[in-house]
Amino acid sequence: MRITTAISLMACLVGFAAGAATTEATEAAPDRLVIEVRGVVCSFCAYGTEKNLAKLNFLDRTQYGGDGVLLDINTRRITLALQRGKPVRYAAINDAIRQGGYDPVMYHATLTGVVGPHPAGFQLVNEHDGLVYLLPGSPAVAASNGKRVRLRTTLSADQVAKVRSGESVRLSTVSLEVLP
Amino acid sequence: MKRARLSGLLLALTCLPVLAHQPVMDMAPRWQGGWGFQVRAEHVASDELLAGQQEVANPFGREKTIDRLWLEGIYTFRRELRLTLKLPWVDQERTVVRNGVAVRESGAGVGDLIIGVPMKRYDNQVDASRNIAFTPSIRLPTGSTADAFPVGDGSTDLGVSVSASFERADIYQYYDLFYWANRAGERGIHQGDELGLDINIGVHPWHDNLSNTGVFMMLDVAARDEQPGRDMAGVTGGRRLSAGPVLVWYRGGIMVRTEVSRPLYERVEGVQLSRGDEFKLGIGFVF
Repeated sequence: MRITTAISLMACLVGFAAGAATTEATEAAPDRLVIEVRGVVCSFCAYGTEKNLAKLNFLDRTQYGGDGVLLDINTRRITLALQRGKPVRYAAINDAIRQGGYDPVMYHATLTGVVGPHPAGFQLVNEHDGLVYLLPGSPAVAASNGKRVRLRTTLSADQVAKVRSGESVRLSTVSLEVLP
Repeated sequence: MKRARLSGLLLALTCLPVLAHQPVMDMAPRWQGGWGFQVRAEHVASDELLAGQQEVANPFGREKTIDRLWLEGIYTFRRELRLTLKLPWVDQERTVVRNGVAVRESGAGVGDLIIGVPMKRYDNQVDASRNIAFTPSIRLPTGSTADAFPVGDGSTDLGVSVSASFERADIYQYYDLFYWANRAGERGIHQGDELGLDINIGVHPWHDNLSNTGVFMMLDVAARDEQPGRDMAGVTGGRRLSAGPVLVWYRGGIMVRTEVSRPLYERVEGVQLSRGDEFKLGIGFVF
């Protein structure tokens, strides 16, 4: 009788296993930064990570339930709502996630601005936060000189860990779209 | 008839689904400088008398009821190193046979303090996280041995556990193999060393990313092998396998767990009461 009770209980649990986790789809946008984080599959476990990120002063806390942070355990991505005019501090984001017990992997950002010359090639001053991004010397970038563009890029966690506050961010891969 | 001093709260909650291990102390806090505490109520009751594996007649009405209210704390220095403290308030009664007469005995008070130092190694994968842990523990004799059914045994005991957990967004697994070396205590109490295995396997059927709210449903399986020993009621020790369902609800840094467990297999040393059914309810907070 005891064994059959246990089997019945297990069957009930399996029957409940088809439930859903609600997900709010997010993509990188000028006011959104999306970070791929390895292992963030439990939001209770990652509560400290979210708490750390919520302290960052460049987040828009009117978004995502009041802290500007959305943690999606199904896609393992953290989306930060960015406040206009406040420079993003990538190294601080990296530190917040690592001290939370997780490993950031890749940052997905969308920038808008006018491509301009720089002693090292080309640059873009992001309209959203004023940060200067150094662009790779590709034909597409050269062709966009002087034009306003929307630029999608990815940064590895190792890359952002080296960016100090106020420094320009050097990009290696970009996808450009010239805006009208 | 089983009696429980904390019956008002606990019995009202026994209709809830049940739960197994200690999520607050396992899952969180994982972050550097994190801390938390949990209040957990346990109710154990039995009036089933066993001789070895066989249930036998219980003409003297031997029974026991044990209620414990645990206050548990944790601090995370970094994800690899934590400190845990667990202290119970115990309220218990039993009926034993002394010189051919049924005698009612009781005990109440602060129990033995358990201090543990979980050392974890994490492996974060693309869509999963896993960790292994080594946890040395010590149980200090802060519980009194003065009562007829003493809440402590007066000995300092040492324990060690090796555990592993694997989780994805939809599945959680936890395995914990542990050993307690129980030293001789006061008043002739010397329970045997205990080897145990706890397994929690469950699913994460619902989670809302925006509110960080969700539910876990798990099955807890516990195996114990306690060497022969003695307490003031007589012989102790035996083997058992218990199981039961677990329900966990969380929101942000708050977690509530409920649990029921009952023995599926038991073999006791000599003649003893069965372990009995266990009901547990806990609420934890992490910061």
